[in-house]
Amino acid sequence: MDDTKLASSLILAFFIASIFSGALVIVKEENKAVYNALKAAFGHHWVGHGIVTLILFAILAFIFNLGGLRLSEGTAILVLWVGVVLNLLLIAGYFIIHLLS
Amino acid sequence: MISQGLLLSAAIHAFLGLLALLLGVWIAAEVRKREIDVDLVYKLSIVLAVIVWLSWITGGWWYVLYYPEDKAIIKAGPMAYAHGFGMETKEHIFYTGLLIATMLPVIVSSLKEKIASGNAKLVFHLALAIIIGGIVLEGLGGLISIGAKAGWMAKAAVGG
Repeated sequence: MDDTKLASSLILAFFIASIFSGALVIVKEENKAVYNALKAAFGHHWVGHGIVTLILFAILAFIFNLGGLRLSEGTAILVLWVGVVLNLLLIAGYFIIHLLS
Repeated sequence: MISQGLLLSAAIHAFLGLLALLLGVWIAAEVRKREIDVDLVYKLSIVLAVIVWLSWITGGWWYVLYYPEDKAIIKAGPMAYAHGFGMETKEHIFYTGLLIATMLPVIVSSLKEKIASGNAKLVFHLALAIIIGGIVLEGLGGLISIGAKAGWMAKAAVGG
């Protein structure tokens, strides 16, 4: 039997983790304390960025899967793409603005 | 002195990225068939996930240990944006692809009956995101390579 709850949990966790990842780029670039903390904890800020994002994704997927939320296929696809586009806009947008300023 | 091993690791990273892109195309094509081979799609999605993780490890190893030298050259060269926009964007949006590749086999496994019945729109869109992301990352990788080449050429021209 299909587990649509698990698929929904993963998509929702992805949505939040991708926005978190995009926001973390801006936060660590603007706040050197965050940048340095990631560097100190993981040896390199970028490695820390990835590990923290992956851990957040796994925890959120686990928590969402404990609940009973189920997304329709259309909603899941929409949530996926909104997450992808927001992540891209946050990251590419920030560095474009940073270069132009 | 740049070692052959170092150059090979960068080449392997680019190759794995291309392979992941092609696997995304294969998965997208498989789930558009009238009769979907779910087991094949599941196996392909596992291979894709492993390849993207390997791409992270090989590319990350190169990026953390050896990219700083190229970074300094790119930033001092005529295409500083190849780092300021190209690499900065590439290294961070990669994690979106890593998340999608990681959840893809789990989603395929959790929706096997639905996919077997011909309804695989979510998997198709996940594969499409991998394809588009792969094209963007390959393009940014090309920009960074050209930026480094231009930087090194500019440095050589002034006898640096």
